[in-house]
Amino acid sequence: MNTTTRRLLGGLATAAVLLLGQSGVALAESPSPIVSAAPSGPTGNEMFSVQPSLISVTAKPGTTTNTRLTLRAAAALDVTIKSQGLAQAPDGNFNAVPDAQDTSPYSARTMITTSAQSLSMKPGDKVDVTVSIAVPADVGEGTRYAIVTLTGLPAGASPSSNVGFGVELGVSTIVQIAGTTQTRTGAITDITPGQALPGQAIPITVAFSNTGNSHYGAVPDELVTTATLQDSTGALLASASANGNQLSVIPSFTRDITLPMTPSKAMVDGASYHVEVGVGLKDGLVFDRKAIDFTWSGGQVLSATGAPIQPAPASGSASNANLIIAALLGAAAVALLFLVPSRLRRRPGSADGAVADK
Amino acid sequence: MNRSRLAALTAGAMFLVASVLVPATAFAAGPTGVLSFDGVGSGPVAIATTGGSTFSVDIWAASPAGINPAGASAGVDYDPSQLKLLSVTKGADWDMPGVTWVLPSASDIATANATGTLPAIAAFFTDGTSYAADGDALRLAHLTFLQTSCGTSTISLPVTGSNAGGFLDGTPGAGHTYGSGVDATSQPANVTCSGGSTGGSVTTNVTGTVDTGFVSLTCPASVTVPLVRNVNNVANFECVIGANVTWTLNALDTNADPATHGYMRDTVQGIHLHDSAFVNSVNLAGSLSAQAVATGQNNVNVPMTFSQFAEPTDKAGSYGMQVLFSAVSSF
Repeated sequence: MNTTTRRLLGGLATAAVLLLGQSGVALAESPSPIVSAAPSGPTGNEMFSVQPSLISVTAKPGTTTNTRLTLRAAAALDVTIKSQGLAQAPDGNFNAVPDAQDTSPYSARTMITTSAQSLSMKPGDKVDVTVSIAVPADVGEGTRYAIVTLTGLPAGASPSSNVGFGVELGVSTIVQIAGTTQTRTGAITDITPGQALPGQAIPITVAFSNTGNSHYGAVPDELVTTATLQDSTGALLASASANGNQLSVIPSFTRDITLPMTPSKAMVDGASYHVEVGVGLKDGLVFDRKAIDFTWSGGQVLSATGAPIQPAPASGSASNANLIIAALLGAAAVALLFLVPSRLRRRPGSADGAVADK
Repeated sequence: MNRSRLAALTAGAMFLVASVLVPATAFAAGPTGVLSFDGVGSGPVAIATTGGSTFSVDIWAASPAGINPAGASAGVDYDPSQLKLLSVTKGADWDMPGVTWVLPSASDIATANATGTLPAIAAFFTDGTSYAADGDALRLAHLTFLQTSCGTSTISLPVTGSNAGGFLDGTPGAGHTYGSGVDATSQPANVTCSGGSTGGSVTTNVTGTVDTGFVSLTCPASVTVPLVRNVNNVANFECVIGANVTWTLNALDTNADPATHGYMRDTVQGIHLHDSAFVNSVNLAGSLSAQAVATGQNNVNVPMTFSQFAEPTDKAGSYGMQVLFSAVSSF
């Protein structure tokens, strides 16, 4: 089997993992999520709470939509309310950014006004705030995003304390522009192999950018990232996949996804390796595939350059049937790559397969 | 005495008040209240249904004018060959603070669906002084039935016998004894069923409501960090996230000056500590934007540590900082 053929099969294996690899899932974000049972609503004993936690509306250009937030406080708080930009860090986490940092073309920050910008709350208070979303007539296509922040500064901090804490609640806001095309596209912008101690997994960090005009990535449009590591002969050394977990990728933002690759044999100093990465959705849509070649030395990458991707077994427009066929071929190839060398190792120098006595 | 035994005795006492005292006094002379399904009580209520469908009725209890009720009760008789009682809930009007309830258990309802007799539902004040407005029709209970077989049937509210409904007098003043019985009359509901599916084929509509989601955050208003030189000083505390969604907890130094962001400052002297402050593993000077400290779903108590190293070369002073913790819902 020549190198090109093996790399092609490796590419098919990437697709196989992309489609079928739902085991050994790594969490694509940091810090690790903490999960517990879902409560039915606030108890009223929380320092500061807001309901609902998410505003999601579909609105036509040139219209205004009103919705309501209910704030509750169990402490004396001076509250300020703002519409801010919704940003996403490379680890996937959401945060609010002020005007100057809100550079996304998909920002809804300026569309949103609230019935109150500041208020004082006493323990036990419940206050309704109206949020108005005015969609400009020339807003364009897709979906827009913002975050309504409710910042509460406690009135009763101890005078002897030297570190004061405030609490802020961020209500993510999604404004889908009615009657416009919601585009889901994406691109791999970087592949970075990290350092690894001997015997440990090599972290491959994939930077993926949402180049569409609407979000995706969380259930049910779960993002799936897969990678394969091959040596210079095209032999598959490792594969890994990561699901998107519960966080979407917002348009114009880039998310880093780290895949730990555990090679089936030790990496050799000075040798060249090939990494292929695919990013898609769980439903079979493949956004992008890219590859790099790198030289390994002393537990780290000496040089990494972009490499041609093997002929893609699937693309964003490919049918699921084609993807599944490619996946099955890839899976068979992976099995072949593992089985054949082991059989050959067990039968050295014998045409009939008998093991020679020493 | 163990708790379950105490609870059983307490429940038993309530039941005695509601179901024994009231029927026993149902024959007392005097003004009578009205139990009905429409709050008016001038005649039977007509209910039209289809086979396999569900319908709900309210039991209204109107005390006589001049009698402030301290309690009301009503039993229910119906034809179990045509109707199946699905649920009994508190009536909206009698669901007041200080009211004690006697509601049928699931076992009581199952028995009623076999016998056609539901034991008395009762609501009453137990403080010996409270009462409701006189003469008003108040909703005592909300019942939901399934029409299992078509025909005509009657749902009645008995006012005589062992399962009779009635009122307790709570009227203040002379001539009234708190808790004494007040007679009642009642009006039934006539149920007429036509069409639909009945017998062995029943359509059950399953509906549900997804709540709007919420997020809440509780953190201490402040902590004190002892700034001992040459030591990584720490203050441990906890922030409590309440949510039924996915969230990110971010931390941010509210000082937006890029030169000193993330550092404890002595604003009087205009100086800051040499080393930046940390919340858990997050360097507050690492970004001018909020940085993720934790992510998760639903209610979580997040252990937090504020840490600050004080160098031997740091100038003496009073250093402080304000950190904003932000819980952001994600999607």
